[in-house]
Amino acid sequence: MTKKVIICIDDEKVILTSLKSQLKKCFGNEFTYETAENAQEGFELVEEHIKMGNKIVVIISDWLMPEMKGDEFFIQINKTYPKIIKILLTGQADNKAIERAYNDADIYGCIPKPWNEDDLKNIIDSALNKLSE
Amino acid sequence: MKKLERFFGILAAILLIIGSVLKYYSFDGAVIAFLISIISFNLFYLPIQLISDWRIYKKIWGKIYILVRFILLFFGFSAHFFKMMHWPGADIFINTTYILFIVLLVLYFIKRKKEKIYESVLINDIVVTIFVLVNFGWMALNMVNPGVVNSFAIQEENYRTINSGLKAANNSIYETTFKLSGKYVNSSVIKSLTRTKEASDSLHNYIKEFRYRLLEATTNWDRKKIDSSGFFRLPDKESYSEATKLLLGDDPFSNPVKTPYCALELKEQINKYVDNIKYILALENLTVSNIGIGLETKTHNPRYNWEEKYFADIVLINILSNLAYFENMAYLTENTCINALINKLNSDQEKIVIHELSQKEAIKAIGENEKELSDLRQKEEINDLIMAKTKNELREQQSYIFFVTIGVVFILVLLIITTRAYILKQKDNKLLIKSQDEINEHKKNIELKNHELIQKQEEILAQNEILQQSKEELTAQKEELHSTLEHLKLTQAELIQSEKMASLGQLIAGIAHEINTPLGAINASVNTITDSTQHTIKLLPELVKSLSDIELKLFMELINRSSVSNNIMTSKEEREFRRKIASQLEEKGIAEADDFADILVDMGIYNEIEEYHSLFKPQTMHALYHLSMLIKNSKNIKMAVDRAAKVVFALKNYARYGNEQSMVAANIVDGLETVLILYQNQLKHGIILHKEFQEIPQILCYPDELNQVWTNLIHNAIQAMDGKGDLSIHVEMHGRASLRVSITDTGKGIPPEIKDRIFDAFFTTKPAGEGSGLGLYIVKQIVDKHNGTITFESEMGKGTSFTVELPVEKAELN
Repeated sequence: MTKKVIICIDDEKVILTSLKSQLKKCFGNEFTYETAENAQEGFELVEEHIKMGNKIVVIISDWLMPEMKGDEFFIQINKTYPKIIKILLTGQADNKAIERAYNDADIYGCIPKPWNEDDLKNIIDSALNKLSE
Repeated sequence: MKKLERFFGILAAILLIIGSVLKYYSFDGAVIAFLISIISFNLFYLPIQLISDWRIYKKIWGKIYILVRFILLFFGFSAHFFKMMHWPGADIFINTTYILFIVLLVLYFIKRKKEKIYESVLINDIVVTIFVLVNFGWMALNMVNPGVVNSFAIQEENYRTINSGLKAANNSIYETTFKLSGKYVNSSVIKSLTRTKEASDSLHNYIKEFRYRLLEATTNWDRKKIDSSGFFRLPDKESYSEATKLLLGDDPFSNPVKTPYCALELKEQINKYVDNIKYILALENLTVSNIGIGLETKTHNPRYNWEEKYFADIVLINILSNLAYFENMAYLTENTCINALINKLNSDQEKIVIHELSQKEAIKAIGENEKELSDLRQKEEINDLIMAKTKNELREQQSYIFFVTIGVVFILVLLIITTRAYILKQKDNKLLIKSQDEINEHKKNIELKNHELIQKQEEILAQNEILQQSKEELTAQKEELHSTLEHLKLTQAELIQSEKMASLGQLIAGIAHEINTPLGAINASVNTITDSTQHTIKLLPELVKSLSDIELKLFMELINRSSVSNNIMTSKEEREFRRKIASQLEEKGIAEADDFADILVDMGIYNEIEEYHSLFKPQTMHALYHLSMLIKNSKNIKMAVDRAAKVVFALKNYARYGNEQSMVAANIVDGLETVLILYQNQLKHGIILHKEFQEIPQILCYPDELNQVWTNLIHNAIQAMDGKGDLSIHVEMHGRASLRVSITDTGKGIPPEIKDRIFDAFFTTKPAGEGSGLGLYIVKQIVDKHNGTITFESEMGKGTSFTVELPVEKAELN
């Protein structure tokens, strides 16, 4: 059965936990929620689920991460899987990086830390709507 | 030698001049003067000159010249001697030599060699030439106008005439002159003596007169003295003396004995007649000397018996013979005449017819002649005057001529000298002109050079001005540089400040993040708690009712297990557990395998789940989940708060940097720990931290500044390792007086080519905009401020280690 997957990537476990629980609360069993702690893990996850035949719907990623940063990660993802909705989560990203992410990675949106649960819900909703159009 | 030469030359010249003068005035000394002159010149002057000059003249041409010159002059002057001897060829010889000499002189002038000694010879030659020329001139003049000058040649001719005349006289004397008629001497004789008729007539008359007078005078003589032969017999020597005494008196002037012969009167008369004869002869250009007085000597021979009537003839002959006595040429024809006469007389004694002079005839003759005589006397008186006058005139004329000649000679000499001087001067002039030209050229050159120099001077002045300007510019630039330096210093300060601010900015950004994260976590946790509380309230009461005691116990166990789990698994690990549990549950036939697996893993339960099988129902599971979430999230909040508090504390410590002015005692380990907290986020993932802090005393330092040091070094280390590696920090004492802090990473290392520069201000290996390059520079400044040292070791690919050594100042507690 094709699952719909939302991937969260952040180097802080705490963030990941929060994100996951909020998403779960919002969307329940509609999606499978995966978490990764760095970009590399994110790539692995993406490949895994694609291989399994699942559909990656949304990826939420932090910007400031060790090794590959969020925007770079999204640019790479965009090259191979442009249809995935990419949302950048950021506590301190400089504007250039965000600009780059919008331009080159075609991210859907940007959520600053700390975020509102509602903001998160809304952006995902609108993203999903967009996807179904 | 030269002096001798000069002496003889001058002597010869002077005597030559004297001789000429004497001869002119008919003095006997002329002969002697001439003789000495010639001897002096020819035998002394010329040879000495030759010898001395031979040595001086180097070139063969010179030697030939002086030799030839010597020969010509020698023979020329010697020839004068022969001329005196009436040697026929003498004249020709003399003239030839003199012409040759002049030719030589001309040749010399034409082809003059540059032997300066020529000059002295030249002057001599010029003098001689003048002398020769004068002689020639004299001759020439006389040829042109015979009456003007008295010359050797003319005299020579006259002499010859006289000589022949005398010869004639000799011949004819015995024929007719002994006729004591006293009327006249043989006209042929007279003619032979004179040239003009007037002269011969005059002479004739005077002789006649003279004879008469003589006869008159001698008529009173004692006839007894006259022997039968008719000759006036002269006694012997003593007697002669007496006779002369009788004739002339002892000393007519001192003892005027009145003799019957009227000696004085006779002498006077004789003299008078002699004078007249002289005068006549002078008209004929003849000079006579010493006539008359020779009577004494000439007739001094007892052998000869002279008739008184012959006395006049004798006297006449004397006179005539004396006419031959020319200027010290004592060709004693009178002797010859007398000898001839004597011979004749002796041989023809018989033939001599003594003609008695009839008194009557005589008186008649006298009477006839008285008129003549008175006329003649008148004439004589007039002629006396005229003679005197003309004599004076002649003398004047001759003096005039003589001095003119001298003058001409002088002028000639002057001309030659001036010509010579002129020629030399011309040469000098040419040289002068040449040197003048050279000087002019030099002058031009110098002027050109002057011009150039002036130009150069102007250039130099211009350059000087330029230099001056440059100097001023330089001064201005210097001032500019000063101000620029000041400005730069300010800028440097500002840059350092901005670097501080930048690093502070970085720090602030980091801090912001560090605080945001816990806040985010708290926020999320609160939401979750709120949510989970609601779910729990809803689910729990019913669940407690529905669960059995065992199930409840199991439920509580799971809750406990969840609350003690540390949540240290990576998401990857969790994922693996999730899948494992999911597959386990699937095997057991549970439909919500993924969901339950997710819950269990979220709760922190990764294994050993078999005994809780009975709880694996949705409600139970959800209740479990929410309950555990409550606990978990509360824990999270606590943790987040702790973290935030630490960050704030670290910030508070950091912010004190810069405010303190003096050192304080501090333990640097505290500082290190503080910094580590700030970076713990970055250190957490991927970097393994090794701390080795030994016991160290407190040191006097600027703690905040040291914190910046640690910050920078740790920051660099993390960057070098790209977030993954080993970071080791050692703190230890180094001896008693210093401590060491070393920060070692396993990063990419520092390349050797930049090792010298890493402490340089604004040196960075990062791309533009990412780093100001002041980090290590400031670190060094701070370490220097503490009188410490900072060193590093690095190996490419292996890692870098920075060591800071600080002196331990005995910290005294304030």
